[in-house]
Amino acid sequence: MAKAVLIVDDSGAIRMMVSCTLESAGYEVIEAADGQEGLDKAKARTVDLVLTDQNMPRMDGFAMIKNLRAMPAYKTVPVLMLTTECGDAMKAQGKAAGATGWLVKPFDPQKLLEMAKRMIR
Amino acid sequence: MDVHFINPVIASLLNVLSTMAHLEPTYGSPKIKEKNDVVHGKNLTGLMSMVGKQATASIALTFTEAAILHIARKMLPGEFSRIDGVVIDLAGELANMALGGAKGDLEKEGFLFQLSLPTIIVGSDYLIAHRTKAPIIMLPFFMPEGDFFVEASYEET
Repeated sequence: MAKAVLIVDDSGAIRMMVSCTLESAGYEVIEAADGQEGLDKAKARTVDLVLTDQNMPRMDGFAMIKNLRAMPAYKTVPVLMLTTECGDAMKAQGKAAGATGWLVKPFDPQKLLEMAKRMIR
Repeated sequence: MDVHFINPVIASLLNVLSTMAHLEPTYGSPKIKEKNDVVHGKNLTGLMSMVGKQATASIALTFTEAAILHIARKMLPGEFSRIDGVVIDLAGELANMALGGAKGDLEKEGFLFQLSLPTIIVGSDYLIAHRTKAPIIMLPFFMPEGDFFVEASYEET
């Protein structure tokens, strides 16, 4: 059974790029356009990896991760932040919220795939 | 225009296109934009501002239709033959990534900024209105498939 990845980003173009990269490697991809939709989809089906942006409407990435970490099924599921900003303060906030790692946009799709493989293993 | 501001913007934009689209555009000489210079032909612009205690800046990335469709084909699956919602979204994301990268570099030099969300302009023969009294620098970029340009203004507060 294919490993499932939830990609949460308000940019349809970024979701399309990430989905194409991961699906070509055999992953099942579930998409959400903001943190609230991401949380709803994560509740409906437990995934093996979450990739999320930070700045999104309705619910941002940090808030979504905090909510995910409060769910028993997501205590240890890796969550990778995928953002344009990566200052130390922001990384500290992400870590405090429960993020496992960080990949800065722009990203090389191959590097994203390698990180996903490492985190799901 | 302070090169300490414009250089990180150029470097970041080239890094975005190289990393995500495997494109290596060349660029020409900068010039001062006249306030009422209209963008001719069909284009797509991502306009953003950076606001900080030390300075404010306004940056616009303007792609010809041919250029943004070529970038979309290089970055995304599928064929793109016209400017649609995905292409518009992509232009906003390119502006966001280019300015986000420049913001990170400027922070290392002690300049702290807040980035606005990109405003997207799509159409033919339009005016890009920057909210500044400072001179606006226009820098053209070239690809065989189509051209684009950056407009930037920087004003110390």
